[in-house]
Amino acid sequence: MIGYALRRLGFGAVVMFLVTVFVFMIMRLVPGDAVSLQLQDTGVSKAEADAMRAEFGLDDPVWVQLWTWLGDAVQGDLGTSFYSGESVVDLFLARIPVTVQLGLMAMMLGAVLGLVVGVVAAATRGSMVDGAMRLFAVAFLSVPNFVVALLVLTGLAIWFAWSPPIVYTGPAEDFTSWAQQIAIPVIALGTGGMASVARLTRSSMLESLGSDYIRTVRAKGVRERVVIAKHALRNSTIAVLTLLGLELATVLGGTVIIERMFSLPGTGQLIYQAVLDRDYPVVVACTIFYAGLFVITIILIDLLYALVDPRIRSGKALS
Amino acid sequence: MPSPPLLEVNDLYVQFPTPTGPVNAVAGVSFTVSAGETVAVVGESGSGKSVSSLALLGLLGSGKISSGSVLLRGDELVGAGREKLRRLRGAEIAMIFQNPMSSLDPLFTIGDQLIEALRVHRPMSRRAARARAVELLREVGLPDPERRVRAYPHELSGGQQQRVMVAIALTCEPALLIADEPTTALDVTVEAQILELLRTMQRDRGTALLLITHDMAVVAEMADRVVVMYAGQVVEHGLVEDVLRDPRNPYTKALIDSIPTPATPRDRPMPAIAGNVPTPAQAPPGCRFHPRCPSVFERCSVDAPRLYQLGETRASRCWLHETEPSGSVAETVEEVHRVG
Amino acid sequence: MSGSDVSVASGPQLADERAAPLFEARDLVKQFRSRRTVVQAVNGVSLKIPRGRTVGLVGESGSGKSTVARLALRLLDPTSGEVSFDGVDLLRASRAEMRALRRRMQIVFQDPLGSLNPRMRVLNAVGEPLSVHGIAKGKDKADRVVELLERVGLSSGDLYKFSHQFSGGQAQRIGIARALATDPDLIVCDEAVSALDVSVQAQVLNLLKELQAELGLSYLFIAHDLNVVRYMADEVCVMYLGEIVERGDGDELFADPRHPYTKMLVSAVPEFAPELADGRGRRSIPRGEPASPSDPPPGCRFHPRCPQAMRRCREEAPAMHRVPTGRAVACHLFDAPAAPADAEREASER
Repeated sequence: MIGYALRRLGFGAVVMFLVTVFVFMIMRLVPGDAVSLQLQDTGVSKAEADAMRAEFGLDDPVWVQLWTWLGDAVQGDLGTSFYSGESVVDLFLARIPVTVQLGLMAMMLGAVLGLVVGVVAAATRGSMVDGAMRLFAVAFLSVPNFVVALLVLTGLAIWFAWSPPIVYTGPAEDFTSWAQQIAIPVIALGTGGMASVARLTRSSMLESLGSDYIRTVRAKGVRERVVIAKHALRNSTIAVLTLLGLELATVLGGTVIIERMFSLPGTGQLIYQAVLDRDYPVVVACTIFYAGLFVITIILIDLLYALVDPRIRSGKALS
Repeated sequence: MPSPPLLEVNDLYVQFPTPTGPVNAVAGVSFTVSAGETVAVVGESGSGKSVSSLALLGLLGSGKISSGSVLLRGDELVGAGREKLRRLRGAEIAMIFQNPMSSLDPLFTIGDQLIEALRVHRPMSRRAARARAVELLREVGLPDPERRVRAYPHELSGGQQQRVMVAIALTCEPALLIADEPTTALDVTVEAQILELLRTMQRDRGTALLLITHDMAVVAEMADRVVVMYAGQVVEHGLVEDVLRDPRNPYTKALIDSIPTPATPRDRPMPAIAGNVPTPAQAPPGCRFHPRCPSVFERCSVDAPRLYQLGETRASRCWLHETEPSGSVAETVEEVHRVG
Repeated sequence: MSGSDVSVASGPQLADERAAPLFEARDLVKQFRSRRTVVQAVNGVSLKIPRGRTVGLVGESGSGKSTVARLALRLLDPTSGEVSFDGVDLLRASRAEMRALRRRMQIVFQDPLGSLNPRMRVLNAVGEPLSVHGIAKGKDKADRVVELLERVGLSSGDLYKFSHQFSGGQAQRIGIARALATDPDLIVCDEAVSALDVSVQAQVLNLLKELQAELGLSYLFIAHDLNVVRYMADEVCVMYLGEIVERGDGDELFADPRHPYTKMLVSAVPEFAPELADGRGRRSIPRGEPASPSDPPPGCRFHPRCPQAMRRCREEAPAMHRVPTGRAVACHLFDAPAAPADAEREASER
């Protein structure tokens, strides 16, 4: 088990390194750099622009830049923003909490509600409840998250003449205001995941409920409640865990738009602006942050697999 | 029979929904199992043998008992509430299945699965249950039970998994054990071991055994009485020695003849049954076996024959018995109008 | 049928005495390597299949019999050993030669429905080998397929059906028709009747025998059912954990098994004959289960389960010994000095 965990971690480190190199290269290879973008239409001479490039280190070969950057990054210095001149680390630390709150709550909403809906639908297979749940799941799956957000916003505004506060406040300062502000983004980001989790839970629960080992459990005289909650659900989680990993990518991608829509000061907004500005240090740091979040989740999910399934612990493939 | 039978199945119909309408996978099956005896239900695919046994305990997925009666010690199970059936499962009637590899929950240890079975029907501390689990594993001949109790199913071989299934089935000392093709997925040498285990267990505990199988040899080895099924119906039943020595139904006879044995002459063709085994939906009118029957005559394709009682302990479903001196028409357990 | 027509693994002097076999495998070894384990699926198997004859392979799961089937057709390459078909070394054959040879050797699988493409109509399923090998197309192909279908007991009415419209026995007939399409000399039947109901199994066995008599086919007939193999094969080879432990005529093997594993196997097969039902439960119950092919025991692979195991069996793998009545047994019990003499005497008697 420990060996398995270490192997996963090592794998994660390799992926992170490759992502870093890749992102760094791509950003440098895209035509039009930050300097030309900042100086366009200002009539600054080429010599002055080159001087600025030299100052930012943009005239070195790409691999030298990469090497310098990696060296600094290892020491906790991710560079400074070409624009604001602030340290990228500081920019980040200020914004990470918002995105993590948003992402975590959206994932939780999706996972927990999705599981509940899926289990109920499977247990009541073929009933009205099951039908309604499946219909809603398809609806939520087909509507993009920003549309959900708009619909909720509009609905609340029309029927209750209410809209969330515009300026973000942290949960520690004003919990009510924070909750009001973050609720709709969480719902918008979470519903898609909830729908896919619900659908997958339902189908893998049904598969599990029709399996030979569930027949054995029933033949033992175990209550149907226990059959579902203990045996069928646990066997279904394996498939659902895989989905949650993929869902995280969707949620993280979603934060970029949703944070802008609700003017939440998170990393999503940061990366959006940085890309527009070609603010390399920020873009690179953001991308690596997102990739890192993703890799960590995947590792966590792999470890959860092993926790749930003894066949993975002992290194036997899933059959 | 001196004592009332432990299990009495009467005119059982089991229906499955299909896109083209409901199909009777089991159409009017009757048999009994007395305490301590072994009854084999034998048949080919689509004969309804497994469906009948799963239906008894309400373990069918989409299938439903559409009519008939199942009496356990005189107590009606058809139409009984889910809770009543649940209390019987494992406690009074236990089951083991064909594929031991897939019949144990892969995520729980052998011990946990045994303990669950032990504690479902009677209050028992976890510790006592674990001790009992080890004891049961030893009784079914699993080597090194103290260690194996902590093993997961995938760490055992097929034969060992089937032993665990037998141990689970024995936890509450059931009166009846239903074994649905218990050795079909196993190698012959392991099959012999599991059959021996079932025999010993039955001898020591007096458990009645309802053995569902496609293998006449297993019937010969294990059973006191045999019920032969074809396309959802019982075509013959009787004592094993009688039926195997002198099959009265043309299907039973043809089935026995088509089994290769060490004595089958190699230079001659095997006596085969022409045609194919019908699925329940394709059951032909009249006698369901008539398109493949070597003794078929006109009536067979029109009217469905009933089950003729031939002496005390046997019966056969064939129009031949109408004219045969030994075929008395009395005492049938069949309602002709419902067939087909 | 006497066992003397059937050759067993033998020295060169014996091979000279007979016509060259259609198929010969010598000392086949196949190991599957994965990250941590080496599975020794087949360990030194030698076989000869004479023209128009059937060699049967019987064994439990993990005995390597299906791997032998794949090695024989070179669907897998052996780790070591030789395979020849009609005098051509399969392992050294060129692509073109191999292609030509593939027409002459076919396989019928266990799961008839699973081995047919569900979206293919019978015409194409059976006719595919004809197209692949460029033998016939268009109307010629259809005519040939109808002929094949009639040969296996189906009709031209089945030409445009899909495989799921057939029962197991019919689907297996389609599988056989497909195997026959290229007019092969050798058909490997890998558990070809194991999934069928008994009444239908008998039909398919009869069909295979008829085809053999008519077309002079050779079969490598693989099954786990000893009775079925005995009925079909001129020579039966019993496999255990990747090795052939005993070979000989099926009747004699049943009547007088020599290798302790064959004895165990024969006594384990449930007897269905009613007159034997009286002896119920009195026969000896086999002990143990086969070891894993990824970790076979040292010495004789059967020794942990063998009631007659000696110290030597744990250390030294037994060689194949010829014993009277055309039998060969790999067991140290036959190491006695008399055994080789017996074998020689027997050989000279022929």
